Amino acid sequence: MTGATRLSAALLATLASGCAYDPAPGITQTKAYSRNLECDRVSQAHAHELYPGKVPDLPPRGSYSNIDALVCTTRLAEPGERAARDEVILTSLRQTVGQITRLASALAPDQTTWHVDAFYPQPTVAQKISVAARIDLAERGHQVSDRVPVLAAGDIAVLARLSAAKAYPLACRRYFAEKVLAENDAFLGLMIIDARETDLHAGICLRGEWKWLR
Amino acid sequence: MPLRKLVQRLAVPLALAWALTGCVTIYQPLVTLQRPAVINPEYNNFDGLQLLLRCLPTDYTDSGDSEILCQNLRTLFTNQGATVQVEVPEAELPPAEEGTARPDLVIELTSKQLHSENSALLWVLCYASLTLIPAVTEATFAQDVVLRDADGFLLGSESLQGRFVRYFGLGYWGINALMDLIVRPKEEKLTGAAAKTDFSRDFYGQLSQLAFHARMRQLVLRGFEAPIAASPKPTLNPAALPGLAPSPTEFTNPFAAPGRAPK
Repeated sequence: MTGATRLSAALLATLASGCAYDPAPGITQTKAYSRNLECDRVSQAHAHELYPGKVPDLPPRGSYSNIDALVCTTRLAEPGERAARDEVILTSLRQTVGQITRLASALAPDQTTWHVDAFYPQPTVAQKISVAARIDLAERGHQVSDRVPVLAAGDIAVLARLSAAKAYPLACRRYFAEKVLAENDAFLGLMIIDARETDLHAGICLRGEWKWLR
Repeated sequence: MPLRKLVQRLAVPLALAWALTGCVTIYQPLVTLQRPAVINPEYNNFDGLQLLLRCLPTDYTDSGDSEILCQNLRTLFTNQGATVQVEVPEAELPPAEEGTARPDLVIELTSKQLHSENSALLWVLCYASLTLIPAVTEATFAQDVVLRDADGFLLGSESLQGRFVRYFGLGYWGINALMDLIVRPKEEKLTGAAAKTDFSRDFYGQLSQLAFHARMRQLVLRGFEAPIAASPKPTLNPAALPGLAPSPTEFTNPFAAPGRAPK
Protein backbone atom coordinates (compact mmCIF):
# COMPACT_ATOMS: atom_id res chain seq x y z
CA MET A 1 0.00 0.00 0.00
CA THR A 2 1.48 3.36 -0.98
CA GLY A 3 1.72 6.26 1.45
CA ALA A 4 -1.08 8.15 -0.28
CA THR A 5 -3.41 5.14 -0.15
CA ARG A 6 -2.64 4.59 3.53
CA LEU A 7 -3.35 8.23 4.27
CA SER A 8 -6.64 8.08 2.35
CA ALA A 9 -7.65 4.96 4.25
CA ALA A 10 -6.86 6.63 7.56
CA LEU A 11 -8.75 9.74 6.57
CA LEU A 12 -11.75 7.73 5.44
CA ALA A 13 -11.70 5.79 8.69
CA THR A 14 -11.63 9.05 10.64
CA LEU A 15 -14.40 10.42 8.49
CA ALA A 16 -16.54 7.35 8.89
CA SER A 17 -16.10 7.07 12.63
CA GLY A 18 -16.49 10.78 13.36
CA CYS A 19 -14.64 10.73 16.64
CA ALA A 20 -13.24 7.49 18.03
CA TYR A 21 -14.86 6.13 21.22
CA ASP A 22 -17.25 9.05 21.38
CA PRO A 23 -20.50 7.98 23.07
CA ALA A 24 -22.50 10.69 21.27
CA PRO A 25 -24.92 9.58 18.56
CA GLY A 26 -23.38 9.58 15.11
CA ILE A 27 -22.85 7.51 12.00
CA THR A 28 -22.32 4.26 13.88
CA GLN A 29 -24.34 4.92 17.03
CA THR A 30 -28.03 5.57 17.43
CA LYS A 31 -29.65 8.14 19.69
CA ALA A 32 -31.38 5.33 21.58
CA TYR A 33 -28.02 3.72 22.42
CA SER A 34 -26.59 7.03 23.52
CA ARG A 35 -29.60 7.89 25.70
CA ASN A 36 -29.19 4.59 27.51
CA LEU A 37 -25.84 5.73 28.88
CA GLU A 38 -25.28 7.64 32.08
CA CYS A 39 -22.07 9.62 31.58
CA ASP A 40 -19.88 11.62 33.87
CA ARG A 41 -16.98 13.85 32.87
CA VAL A 42 -13.90 13.22 35.02
CA SER A 43 -10.26 14.34 34.95
CA GLN A 44 -7.62 12.15 33.31
CA ALA A 45 -6.07 11.38 36.72
CA HIS A 46 -9.39 10.18 38.12
CA ALA A 47 -10.19 8.25 34.94
CA HIS A 48 -6.82 6.52 35.23
CA GLU A 49 -7.59 5.55 38.85
CA LEU A 50 -10.90 4.04 37.72
CA TYR A 51 -9.71 2.39 34.51
CA PRO A 52 -5.91 2.05 34.64
CA GLY A 53 -5.87 -0.32 31.66
CA LYS A 54 -7.80 2.01 29.39
CA VAL A 55 -6.76 5.52 30.40
CA PRO A 56 -3.03 6.33 30.63
CA ASP A 57 -1.66 8.10 33.67
CA LEU A 58 -0.75 11.79 33.53
CA PRO A 59 2.72 12.38 32.04
CA PRO A 60 5.26 12.86 34.87
CA ARG A 61 6.31 16.25 33.54
CA GLY A 62 2.77 17.49 33.12
CA SER A 63 0.87 18.28 29.95
CA TYR A 64 0.24 21.37 27.86
CA SER A 65 -3.36 20.45 27.29
CA ASN A 66 -6.07 19.74 29.82
CA ILE A 67 -7.34 16.23 29.06
CA ASP A 68 -10.39 14.65 30.63
CA ALA A 69 -12.57 11.63 29.98
CA LEU A 70 -16.23 10.77 29.70
CA VAL A 71 -16.99 7.74 31.86
CA CYS A 72 -20.22 6.12 30.73
CA THR A 73 -22.19 3.23 32.16
CA THR A 74 -25.05 1.48 30.43
CA ARG A 75 -28.32 1.39 32.31
CA LEU A 76 -29.59 -2.00 33.40
CA ALA A 77 -32.90 -1.98 31.55
CA GLU A 78 -33.23 -1.19 27.87
CA PRO A 79 -35.24 1.93 26.99
CA GLY A 80 -38.97 1.19 26.99
CA GLU A 81 -38.56 -2.08 28.88
CA ARG A 82 -40.09 -0.64 32.06
CA ALA A 83 -42.76 2.01 32.49
CA ALA A 84 -41.28 5.53 32.73
CA ARG A 85 -42.14 6.05 36.40
CA ASP A 86 -40.91 2.59 37.44
CA GLU A 87 -37.68 3.21 35.56
CA VAL A 88 -36.96 6.48 37.38
CA ILE A 89 -37.94 5.11 40.79
CA LEU A 90 -35.91 1.91 40.41
CA THR A 91 -32.86 3.60 38.89
CA SER A 92 -32.42 5.87 41.91
CA LEU A 93 -33.94 3.51 44.50
CA ARG A 94 -30.82 2.93 46.57
CA GLN A 95 -30.10 6.64 46.87
CA THR A 96 -33.72 7.58 47.65
CA VAL A 97 -34.20 4.81 50.18
CA GLY A 98 -30.88 5.72 51.82
CA GLN A 99 -32.03 9.32 52.32
CA ILE A 100 -35.38 8.20 53.73
CA THR A 101 -34.02 5.63 56.18
CA ARG A 102 -31.41 8.12 57.41
CA LEU A 103 -34.18 10.58 58.23
CA ALA A 104 -36.41 7.90 59.73
CA SER A 105 -33.80 6.25 61.93
CA ALA A 106 -32.98 9.60 63.50
CA LEU A 107 -36.55 9.91 64.80
CA ALA A 108 -36.93 6.57 66.59
CA PRO A 109 -35.08 5.14 69.64
CA ASP A 110 -32.38 2.53 69.02
CA GLN A 111 -34.43 -0.43 70.31
CA THR A 112 -37.25 0.17 67.85
CA THR A 113 -38.45 -2.68 65.64
CA TRP A 114 -39.11 -1.40 62.13
CA HIS A 115 -42.00 -2.41 59.89
CA VAL A 116 -41.89 -1.24 56.31
CA ASP A 117 -44.43 -1.08 53.53
CA ALA A 118 -44.61 0.68 50.17
CA PHE A 119 -47.76 2.12 48.60
CA TYR A 120 -47.22 2.07 44.86
CA PRO A 121 -49.62 1.20 42.02
CA GLN A 122 -47.52 -1.73 40.72
CA PRO A 123 -47.25 -4.46 43.39
CA THR A 124 -43.95 -5.81 42.02
CA VAL A 125 -42.30 -2.39 42.23
CA ALA A 126 -43.87 -1.79 45.67
CA GLN A 127 -42.26 -5.04 46.80
CA LYS A 128 -38.85 -3.93 45.53
CA ILE A 129 -39.18 -0.58 47.32
CA SER A 130 -40.08 -2.11 50.67
CA VAL A 131 -37.35 -4.75 50.44
CA ALA A 132 -34.79 -2.05 49.62
CA ALA A 133 -35.89 -0.02 52.65
CA ARG A 134 -35.76 -3.05 54.96
CA ILE A 135 -32.26 -3.93 53.78
CA ASP A 136 -31.08 -0.36 54.23
CA LEU A 137 -32.48 -0.17 57.76
CA ALA A 138 -30.88 -3.53 58.62
CA GLU A 139 -27.56 -2.30 57.22
CA ARG A 140 -27.81 0.66 59.58
CA GLY A 141 -28.01 -1.79 62.48
CA HIS A 142 -31.74 -1.60 63.19
CA GLN A 143 -34.07 -4.43 64.04
CA VAL A 144 -36.34 -4.98 61.05
CA SER A 145 -39.49 -7.11 60.91
CA ASP A 146 -40.75 -8.93 57.82
CA ARG A 147 -44.32 -8.53 59.06
CA VAL A 148 -46.43 -5.90 57.33
CA PRO A 149 -49.00 -4.35 59.67
CA VAL A 150 -52.51 -5.04 58.41
CA LEU A 151 -55.80 -3.50 59.52
CA ALA A 152 -59.28 -4.97 59.67
CA ALA A 153 -61.58 -4.92 56.65
CA GLY A 154 -63.73 -2.17 58.16
CA ASP A 155 -60.71 0.08 58.62
CA ILE A 156 -59.55 -0.54 55.06
CA ALA A 157 -63.02 0.31 53.75
CA VAL A 158 -62.93 3.68 55.52
CA LEU A 159 -59.31 4.45 54.61
CA ALA A 160 -59.92 3.66 50.95
CA ARG A 161 -62.36 6.57 50.76
CA LEU A 162 -59.99 9.14 52.26
CA SER A 163 -57.35 11.31 50.63
CA ALA A 164 -53.69 10.54 51.29
CA ALA A 165 -53.50 13.52 53.66
CA LYS A 166 -56.06 11.92 56.00
CA ALA A 167 -55.60 8.21 55.23
CA TYR A 168 -52.02 7.78 56.47
CA PRO A 169 -52.44 9.55 59.86
CA LEU A 170 -55.69 7.67 60.48
CA ALA A 171 -54.15 4.33 59.52
CA CYS A 172 -51.30 5.07 61.93
CA ARG A 173 -53.74 5.76 64.78
CA ARG A 174 -55.61 2.54 63.99
CA TYR A 175 -52.38 0.48 63.89
CA PHE A 176 -51.64 1.65 67.42
CA ALA A 177 -55.20 1.39 68.73
CA GLU A 178 -55.60 -2.14 67.36
CA LYS A 179 -52.19 -3.08 68.83
CA VAL A 180 -50.91 -4.03 65.39
CA LEU A 181 -47.97 -1.82 66.32
CA ALA A 182 -46.64 -1.74 69.91
CA GLU A 183 -44.76 0.95 71.84
CA ASN A 184 -41.39 -0.21 70.52
CA ASP A 185 -42.56 -0.58 66.93
CA ALA A 186 -42.21 1.96 64.16
CA PHE A 187 -43.82 1.82 60.77
CA LEU A 188 -42.09 3.35 57.76
CA GLY A 189 -44.31 3.97 54.75
CA LEU A 190 -42.94 4.84 51.32
CA MET A 191 -45.36 6.05 48.70
CA ILE A 192 -46.29 7.97 45.58
CA ILE A 193 -49.10 10.45 46.17
CA ASP A 194 -49.75 11.73 42.66
CA ALA A 195 -49.45 9.72 39.45
CA ARG A 196 -47.34 12.49 37.89
CA GLU A 197 -44.54 12.03 40.43
CA THR A 198 -41.35 10.02 40.05
CA ASP A 199 -40.08 10.75 43.53
CA LEU A 200 -41.01 8.78 46.63
CA HIS A 201 -42.55 10.35 49.71
CA ALA A 202 -42.17 8.82 53.12
CA GLY A 203 -43.77 8.96 56.53
CA ILE A 204 -43.20 7.33 59.87
CA CYS A 205 -45.76 6.04 62.36
CA LEU A 206 -44.51 6.06 65.91
CA ARG A 207 -46.76 5.50 68.95
CA GLY A 208 -49.87 6.26 66.93
CA GLU A 209 -48.54 9.51 65.49
CA TRP A 210 -47.90 9.92 61.79
CA LYS A 211 -45.08 12.20 60.64
CA TRP A 212 -44.25 13.00 57.04
CA LEU A 213 -40.53 12.78 56.35
CA ARG A 214 -40.51 14.08 52.75
CA MET B 1 4.82 29.32 -6.79
CA PRO B 2 4.03 32.89 -5.81
CA LEU B 3 1.48 33.24 -3.08
CA ARG B 4 -0.88 35.24 -5.26
CA LYS B 5 -1.12 32.46 -7.85
CA LEU B 6 -1.63 29.85 -5.14
CA VAL B 7 -4.48 31.88 -3.65
CA GLN B 8 -6.03 32.30 -7.12
CA ARG B 9 -5.86 28.55 -7.74
CA LEU B 10 -7.31 27.62 -4.36
CA ALA B 11 -9.94 30.35 -4.24
CA VAL B 12 -12.55 28.52 -6.32
CA PRO B 13 -12.31 25.10 -4.64
CA LEU B 14 -12.26 26.71 -1.21
CA ALA B 15 -15.26 28.88 -2.01
CA LEU B 16 -17.04 25.83 -3.40
CA ALA B 17 -16.22 23.84 -0.28
CA TRP B 18 -17.53 26.65 1.92
CA ALA B 19 -20.68 26.94 -0.15
CA LEU B 20 -21.40 23.23 -0.02
CA THR B 21 -20.31 22.43 3.50
CA GLY B 22 -22.66 21.94 6.40
CA CYS B 23 -22.79 21.64 10.14
CA VAL B 24 -24.23 18.78 12.13
CA THR B 25 -24.86 19.55 15.80
CA ILE B 26 -25.31 16.50 17.96
CA TYR B 27 -26.83 16.58 21.42
CA GLN B 28 -26.06 13.96 24.01
CA PRO B 29 -27.73 14.02 27.44
CA LEU B 30 -25.20 13.08 30.11
CA VAL B 31 -26.76 13.33 33.56
CA THR B 32 -30.48 13.43 34.45
CA LEU B 33 -31.59 14.91 31.11
CA GLN B 34 -32.21 11.46 29.59
CA ARG B 35 -34.29 10.33 32.57
CA PRO B 36 -37.87 9.58 31.53
CA ALA B 37 -40.36 12.29 32.50
CA VAL B 38 -43.83 11.22 33.54
CA ILE B 39 -45.36 14.67 33.72
CA ASN B 40 -46.83 16.08 30.52
CA PRO B 41 -45.92 19.78 30.14
CA GLU B 42 -48.99 20.27 27.99
CA TYR B 43 -51.30 19.74 30.97
CA ASN B 44 -52.46 22.09 33.69
CA ASN B 45 -49.98 20.79 36.29
CA PHE B 46 -49.41 23.98 38.30
CA ASP B 47 -52.86 25.48 38.47
CA GLY B 48 -52.84 28.52 40.79
CA LEU B 49 -49.15 28.23 41.65
CA GLN B 50 -47.23 31.49 42.16
CA LEU B 51 -43.81 30.80 40.70
CA LEU B 52 -40.68 32.95 40.77
CA LEU B 53 -38.04 32.10 38.17
CA ARG B 54 -34.59 33.40 38.90
CA CYS B 55 -32.05 32.98 36.07
CA LEU B 56 -28.62 33.92 37.34
CA PRO B 57 -26.01 35.10 34.83
CA THR B 58 -22.60 33.42 35.05
CA ASP B 59 -19.33 33.44 33.10
CA TYR B 60 -21.00 31.06 30.65
CA THR B 61 -24.30 32.90 30.20
CA ASP B 62 -24.64 36.68 30.26
CA SER B 63 -27.77 38.51 31.38
CA GLY B 64 -29.15 38.46 27.81
CA ASP B 65 -28.98 34.65 27.59
CA SER B 66 -30.38 34.31 31.10
CA GLU B 67 -33.27 36.58 30.16
CA ILE B 68 -34.08 34.47 27.08
CA LEU B 69 -33.94 31.29 29.21
CA CYS B 70 -36.25 32.78 31.82
CA GLN B 71 -38.71 34.02 29.18
CA ASN B 72 -38.87 30.56 27.59
CA LEU B 73 -39.45 28.98 30.97
CA ARG B 74 -42.09 31.56 31.79
CA THR B 75 -44.00 30.33 28.75
CA LEU B 76 -43.48 26.70 29.79
CA PHE B 77 -44.89 27.19 33.29
CA THR B 78 -47.59 29.69 32.29
CA ASN B 79 -48.91 27.09 29.85
CA GLN B 80 -49.15 24.68 32.78
CA GLY B 81 -51.30 27.07 34.79
CA ALA B 82 -48.73 28.84 36.98
CA THR B 83 -48.49 32.59 37.49
CA VAL B 84 -44.85 33.32 36.76
CA GLN B 85 -42.60 36.16 37.81
CA VAL B 86 -39.14 36.44 36.30
CA GLU B 87 -36.04 37.80 37.96
CA VAL B 88 -32.74 38.21 36.11
CA PRO B 89 -30.07 40.19 37.94
CA GLU B 90 -28.46 42.88 35.75
CA ALA B 91 -31.13 42.52 33.06
CA GLU B 92 -33.39 45.37 32.01
CA LEU B 93 -36.67 43.68 32.79
CA PRO B 94 -39.73 45.72 33.75
CA PRO B 95 -39.99 45.99 37.55
CA ALA B 96 -42.41 43.69 39.32
CA GLU B 97 -45.91 45.10 39.69
CA GLU B 98 -47.00 46.55 43.02
CA GLY B 99 -48.74 44.01 45.22
CA THR B 100 -47.28 40.99 43.42
CA ALA B 101 -48.20 37.81 45.31
CA ARG B 102 -45.60 36.03 47.43
CA PRO B 103 -44.24 33.10 45.40
CA ASP B 104 -45.12 29.55 46.43
CA LEU B 105 -42.07 28.21 44.68
CA VAL B 106 -38.75 29.78 43.67
CA ILE B 107 -36.66 28.16 40.92
CA GLU B 108 -33.06 29.30 40.59
CA LEU B 109 -31.15 28.38 37.44
CA THR B 110 -27.41 28.66 36.92
CA SER B 111 -25.55 27.52 33.84
CA LYS B 112 -21.92 26.58 33.65
CA GLN B 113 -19.60 25.13 31.07
CA LEU B 114 -17.85 22.00 32.30
CA HIS B 115 -15.67 21.37 29.28
CA SER B 116 -15.03 22.69 25.80
CA GLU B 117 -12.85 21.43 23.00
CA ASN B 118 -11.90 22.99 19.69
CA SER B 119 -8.85 21.46 18.07
CA ALA B 120 -6.85 23.76 15.77
CA LEU B 121 -5.27 20.69 14.14
CA LEU B 122 -8.69 19.36 13.11
CA TRP B 123 -9.56 22.72 11.55
CA VAL B 124 -6.33 22.63 9.51
CA LEU B 125 -7.09 19.06 8.39
CA CYS B 126 -10.66 20.07 7.63
CA TYR B 127 -9.62 22.88 5.29
CA ALA B 128 -6.77 20.87 3.81
CA SER B 129 -9.22 18.12 2.87
CA LEU B 130 -11.75 20.60 1.52
CA THR B 131 -13.92 19.87 4.59
CA LEU B 132 -14.08 16.13 3.90
CA ILE B 133 -12.55 15.59 7.34
CA PRO B 134 -14.85 17.26 9.84
CA ALA B 135 -13.71 19.87 12.34
CA VAL B 136 -15.17 18.97 15.71
CA THR B 137 -16.07 21.43 18.44
CA GLU B 138 -17.57 20.24 21.68
CA ALA B 139 -19.10 21.82 24.75
CA THR B 140 -20.30 20.10 27.92
CA PHE B 141 -22.61 22.16 30.10
CA ALA B 142 -24.42 21.87 33.41
CA GLN B 143 -27.69 23.55 34.23
CA ASP B 144 -27.99 23.67 37.99
CA VAL B 145 -31.53 23.94 39.30
CA VAL B 146 -32.38 24.77 42.91
CA LEU B 147 -35.99 24.79 44.09
CA ARG B 148 -37.03 26.54 47.31
CA ASP B 149 -40.15 27.84 48.95
CA ALA B 150 -40.63 31.56 49.63
CA ASP B 151 -38.81 31.25 52.99
CA GLY B 152 -35.75 29.73 51.36
CA PHE B 153 -36.44 26.15 52.50
CA LEU B 154 -34.75 23.77 50.08
CA LEU B 155 -37.27 21.58 48.28
CA GLY B 156 -34.98 20.04 45.69
CA SER B 157 -31.89 20.51 43.57
CA GLU B 158 -30.51 18.88 40.47
CA SER B 159 -27.73 19.32 37.98
CA LEU B 160 -28.80 18.64 34.40
CA GLN B 161 -25.80 17.88 32.23
CA GLY B 162 -25.40 17.40 28.53
CA ARG B 163 -23.05 18.03 25.66
CA PHE B 164 -23.25 19.45 22.17
CA VAL B 165 -20.81 18.19 19.55
CA ARG B 166 -20.67 20.16 16.32
CA TYR B 167 -19.20 18.62 13.20
CA PHE B 168 -18.28 21.05 10.45
CA GLY B 169 -17.63 19.56 7.05
CA LEU B 170 -19.15 18.48 3.80
CA GLY B 171 -18.25 14.82 4.27
CA TYR B 172 -19.84 14.32 7.67
CA TRP B 173 -22.86 16.42 6.84
CA GLY B 174 -23.37 14.63 3.51
CA ILE B 175 -23.23 11.15 5.03
CA ASN B 176 -25.65 12.09 7.82
CA ALA B 177 -28.03 13.91 5.49
CA LEU B 178 -28.15 10.83 3.28
CA MET B 179 -28.66 8.51 6.26
CA ASP B 180 -31.45 10.76 7.57
CA LEU B 181 -33.06 10.68 4.17
CA ILE B 182 -32.76 6.94 3.52
CA VAL B 183 -31.98 4.89 6.62
CA ARG B 184 -32.90 6.60 9.89
CA PRO B 185 -36.41 6.74 11.34
CA LYS B 186 -37.73 10.19 12.24
CA GLU B 187 -36.76 10.04 15.93
CA GLU B 188 -33.19 9.06 15.05
CA LYS B 189 -32.46 11.92 12.61
CA LEU B 190 -29.37 13.99 13.38
CA THR B 191 -29.31 16.86 10.88
CA GLY B 192 -31.43 19.99 10.85
CA ALA B 193 -32.93 21.14 14.14
CA ALA B 194 -32.89 17.65 15.73
CA ALA B 195 -30.43 18.60 18.48
CA LYS B 196 -32.42 21.67 19.45
CA THR B 197 -35.71 19.77 19.49
CA ASP B 198 -34.32 16.88 21.53
CA PHE B 199 -32.69 19.17 24.07
CA SER B 200 -35.84 21.29 24.48
CA ARG B 201 -37.96 18.18 25.04
CA ASP B 202 -35.55 16.81 27.68
CA PHE B 203 -34.91 20.12 29.41
CA TYR B 204 -38.52 21.28 29.62
CA GLY B 205 -39.69 17.80 30.63
CA GLN B 206 -37.15 17.52 33.45
CA LEU B 207 -37.74 21.06 34.70
CA SER B 208 -41.49 20.48 34.82
CA GLN B 209 -40.91 17.21 36.66
CA LEU B 210 -38.55 18.82 39.18
CA ALA B 211 -40.96 21.68 39.81
CA PHE B 212 -43.80 19.23 40.31
CA HIS B 213 -41.76 17.19 42.81
CA ALA B 214 -40.89 20.35 44.71
CA ARG B 215 -44.54 21.39 44.74
CA MET B 216 -45.64 18.00 46.04
CA ARG B 217 -42.91 17.90 48.67
CA GLN B 218 -43.94 21.34 49.83
CA LEU B 219 -47.56 20.25 50.14
CA VAL B 220 -46.67 17.08 52.02
CA LEU B 221 -44.39 18.85 54.48
CA ARG B 222 -47.05 21.48 55.10
CA GLY B 223 -49.61 18.81 55.79
CA PHE B 224 -51.49 19.26 52.49
CA GLU B 225 -52.58 22.82 53.25
CA ALA B 226 -53.13 23.94 49.67
CA PRO B 227 -55.05 21.88 47.12
CA ILE B 228 -53.29 20.58 44.05
CA ALA B 229 -54.68 20.22 40.56
CA ALA B 230 -56.32 16.83 41.03
CA SER B 231 -57.71 16.36 37.55
CA PRO B 232 -55.35 17.94 35.05
CA LYS B 233 -56.92 19.31 31.90
CA PRO B 234 -55.00 19.87 28.67
CA THR B 235 -54.20 23.52 28.09
CA LEU B 236 -52.30 23.16 24.84
CA ASN B 237 -52.33 21.08 21.73
CA PRO B 238 -53.16 17.58 23.01
CA ALA B 239 -50.61 15.96 20.72
CA ALA B 240 -48.33 14.56 23.43
CA LEU B 241 -44.57 14.88 23.22
CA PRO B 242 -42.78 11.57 22.80
CA GLY B 243 -41.84 9.99 26.10
CA LEU B 244 -44.12 12.26 28.11
CA ALA B 245 -47.22 10.15 28.27
CA PRO B 246 -49.72 11.40 30.86
CA SER B 247 -51.03 8.95 33.41
CA PRO B 248 -53.04 11.09 35.84
CA THR B 249 -56.00 8.79 36.23
CA GLU B 250 -54.36 5.45 37.00
CA PHE B 251 -53.52 6.33 40.61
CA THR B 252 -55.96 5.35 43.32
CA ASN B 253 -56.11 5.53 47.08
CA PRO B 254 -53.16 3.48 48.42
CA PHE B 255 -55.37 1.58 50.85
CA ALA B 256 -57.75 0.63 48.05
CA ALA B 257 -54.94 -0.81 45.89
CA PRO B 258 -54.83 -4.54 45.16
CA GLY B 259 -53.06 -6.53 47.83
CA ARG B 260 -54.17 -4.14 50.59
CA ALA B 261 -57.03 -6.29 51.76
CA PRO B 262 -56.62 -7.75 55.24
CA LYS B 263 -55.06 -11.17 55.30
